[in-house]
Amino acid sequence: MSALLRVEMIVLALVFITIVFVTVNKRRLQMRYSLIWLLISFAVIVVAFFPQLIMWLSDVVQIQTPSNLLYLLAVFALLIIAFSHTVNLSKQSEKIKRLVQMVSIEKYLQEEQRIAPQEERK
Amino acid sequence: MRVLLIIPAYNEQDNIRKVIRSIEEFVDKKPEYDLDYIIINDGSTDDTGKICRENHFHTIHLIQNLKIGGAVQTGYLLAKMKEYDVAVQFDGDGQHDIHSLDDLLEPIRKGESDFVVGSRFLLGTSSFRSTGMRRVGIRFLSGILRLVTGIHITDPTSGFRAANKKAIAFLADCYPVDYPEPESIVALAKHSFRVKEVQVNMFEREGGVSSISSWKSVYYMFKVSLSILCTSFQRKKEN
Repeated sequence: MSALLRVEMIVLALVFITIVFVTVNKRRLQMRYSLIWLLISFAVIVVAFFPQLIMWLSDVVQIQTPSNLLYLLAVFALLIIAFSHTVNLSKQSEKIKRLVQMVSIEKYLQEEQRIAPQEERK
Repeated sequence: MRVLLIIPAYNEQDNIRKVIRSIEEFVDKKPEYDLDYIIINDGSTDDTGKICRENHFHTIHLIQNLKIGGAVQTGYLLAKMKEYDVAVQFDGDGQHDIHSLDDLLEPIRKGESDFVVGSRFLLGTSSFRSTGMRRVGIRFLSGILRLVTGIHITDPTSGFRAANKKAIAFLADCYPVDYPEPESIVALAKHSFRVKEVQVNMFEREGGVSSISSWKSVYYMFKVSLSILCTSFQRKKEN
């Protein structure tokens, strides 16, 4: 891995960590969702400081250039994150659906109680 | 026996009045069981909501559009909360014939079935005429359904269905969202509910557009088949 790539990795990781912190402070990102991004940034920095880790790993899994292994790992990491997002999305839409249903039913029941005495009078 | 008609309505301003009138006429004639109805106005953008309010129809106005599955489930939730004995899904577009209700309820009254599907094709006596392509699609779904559940349902997309108390509780808890009819049959069958089909009468659509357009039908078939297969792998929940 070239020295320049390592510097780039560190700088980008630091910039990204800063962005994550700022976003959390502005309350546009919840702390628990920021952890995964901080973890990834931290991993990038570790790899930049100790490239032998990636060299060794790419030797083990027989990928010729270490940077290719990096890309592969990155793609997998993003794949897992994107998948977990769709899982969460499904959960939330289920919750929203139930919320809409219960609120709508509750409104109807209130209305019904208000109208029922009037109908009896008729 | 207390029966609740669940009438999902999305932009049915041309039909809803007629549907409710036909139900009221039916109630006047047949006092054998208590028949109530509830319209689920699924965030209609036309005058459906207004018409329901002006005529004092019993209506739940969903505060957000939930699509057909979420709307029908709202009805099942209400049926569960108010402890109805039977819930019947009845379309708000005037396609279903209320006079078939007795036939639909018969297996549940006798305690033979938990869930009854009203079919247009079982005996071939319905006045409903379907296009060739749609029939092929329905045959195909019917085949898949038979494959995964062993139950022969000739009209799996029928929205004219009745559920007893046990099935109401199940459906209130989990009901598919997008194209829910075939999928819910599979889910019920997989959870050992007794599903039966009876012949009912349906009419041609009088106004509005069917929820299934021809262009989307391939995508529809794919999605429904997938969800049927997916549901068929579901394990029965332990009680």
